[in-house]
Amino acid sequence: MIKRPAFYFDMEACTGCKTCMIACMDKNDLPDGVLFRRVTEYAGGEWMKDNNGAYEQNVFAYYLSVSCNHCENPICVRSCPTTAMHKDENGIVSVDHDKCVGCRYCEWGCPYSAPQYNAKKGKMEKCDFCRDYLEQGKPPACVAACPTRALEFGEYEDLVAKHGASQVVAPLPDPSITYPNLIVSANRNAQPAGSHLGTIQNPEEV
Amino acid sequence: MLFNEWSLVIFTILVQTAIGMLLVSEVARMLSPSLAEKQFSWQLPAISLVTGVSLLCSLGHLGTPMHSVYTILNAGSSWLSREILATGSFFVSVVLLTGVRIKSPKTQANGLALIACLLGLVTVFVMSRVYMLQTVPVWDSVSTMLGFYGTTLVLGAIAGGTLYGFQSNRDGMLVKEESPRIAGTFIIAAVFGLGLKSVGIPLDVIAMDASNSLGISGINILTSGGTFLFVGCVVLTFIGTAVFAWGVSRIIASGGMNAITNMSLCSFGLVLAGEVVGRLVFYGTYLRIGL
Ligand code: SF4
Ligand code: SF4
Repeated sequence: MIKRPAFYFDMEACTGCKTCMIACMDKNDLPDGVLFRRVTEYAGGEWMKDNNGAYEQNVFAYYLSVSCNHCENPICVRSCPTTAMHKDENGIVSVDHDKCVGCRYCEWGCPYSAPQYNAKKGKMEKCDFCRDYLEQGKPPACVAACPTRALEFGEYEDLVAKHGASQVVAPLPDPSITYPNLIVSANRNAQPAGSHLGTIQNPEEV
Repeated sequence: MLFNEWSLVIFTILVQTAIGMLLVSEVARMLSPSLAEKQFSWQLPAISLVTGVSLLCSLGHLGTPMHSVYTILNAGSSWLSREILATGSFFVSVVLLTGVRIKSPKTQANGLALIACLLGLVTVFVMSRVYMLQTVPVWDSVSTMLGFYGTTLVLGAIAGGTLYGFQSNRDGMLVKEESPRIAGTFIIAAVFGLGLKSVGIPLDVIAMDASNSLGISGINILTSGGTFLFVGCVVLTFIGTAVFAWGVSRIIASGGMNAITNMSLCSFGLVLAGEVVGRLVFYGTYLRIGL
């Protein structure tokens, strides 16, 4: 098994088709409204009149496919009162249903919307990196399904060595909050982290 | 959206009221040991009851209440775990104190009372920290703490003062020398609590200015229908406290309790309504940064 599992996301390759999101729902048999991986459409910009009276624009749009990042300093694990949310020896953060009280405190804190409340079970659920697939030597369902190979997974250091350090773009939160194991390669439209030029366009979907 | 967290609204307000009642009534007892035995005997049973009910209400927030026993496992790093431990310890201490004083009414049990008061103060601190999450800028402000301590004092003092008024009235206690001092204690605590809350208002507004990645800020939530509620809760709390302060101060002026109790009850109703609306708005302005 991998020691520090991480996801790599290539913004340039992602077409926003959401196959990863659906493959994850299918693999985990998720009910409506519970999503372990979400593809966020982030767009914004404006039209401006220049000195000659002509209009210029800086309109942009791009996608981000994000699940739980099995963070190095997970706020969900720190906050969980029952220790149900825990990081195991393989670096995977998951919920122990024998302890989870369904307080949703992990959901309040996680800036990646990773812990998802299953009202039927009264407990939290989330991405467990397809632990069973990894044990069988298979890739996580989302990675396997992506038609453009925008998603990869692997050992954090290996992915950084291959793709370079992660670029933090809007609307991703400050990585120093949780130290996510997520490496993003930005595309040319990407806005710097903290920018308020754009907004999430598909809130109903994610 | 505003009613999603009804159980937490009731839980936090009731616990804070109980803690405030304990703090203020213990100070008032100390100032007037000769009246304490008769005129304060309702306070502790009421405080225990309110705390017990609030703990039951908190279960309403949980998806699997049967697992509540596990919620104290992560006190090392989880503020929620610490909150449950602190509230539970406060409850145990007031029940013990109630038992001791019912058994032998002349006992002051000052040591135990002091422990219960300190646990109460710690509980309000820990409760505030639960909400001061780095990823929720609207809550991550000192105004959350000022608001919680403010509620504790305002509601606790008015609830305690009203109960004191009713008990004194029922027992036909003539106002003795000490009564004005006791009434003054309740008034000062309520006004001080209101002051703490008022300091928090501008800080709240500043914190609400932060917007999330949907482009929504706490201000947006308020301006789209919430302004009325925000202003409403401030007005209700101010009017309620003013009515209480005026009503109770009449005890001092007139030297009698008549008609004062009903007025205190009205002021309690007004302030409670203000606090409930304010707490609903507080939970309604939950906005997380990130995705
Ligand atoms: S992404 Fe969220 S849920 Fe996943 S480990 Fe990080 S903080 Fe926890
Ligand atoms: S919902 Fe479950 S996993 Fe999340 S913080 Fe509460 S007990 Fe922990």
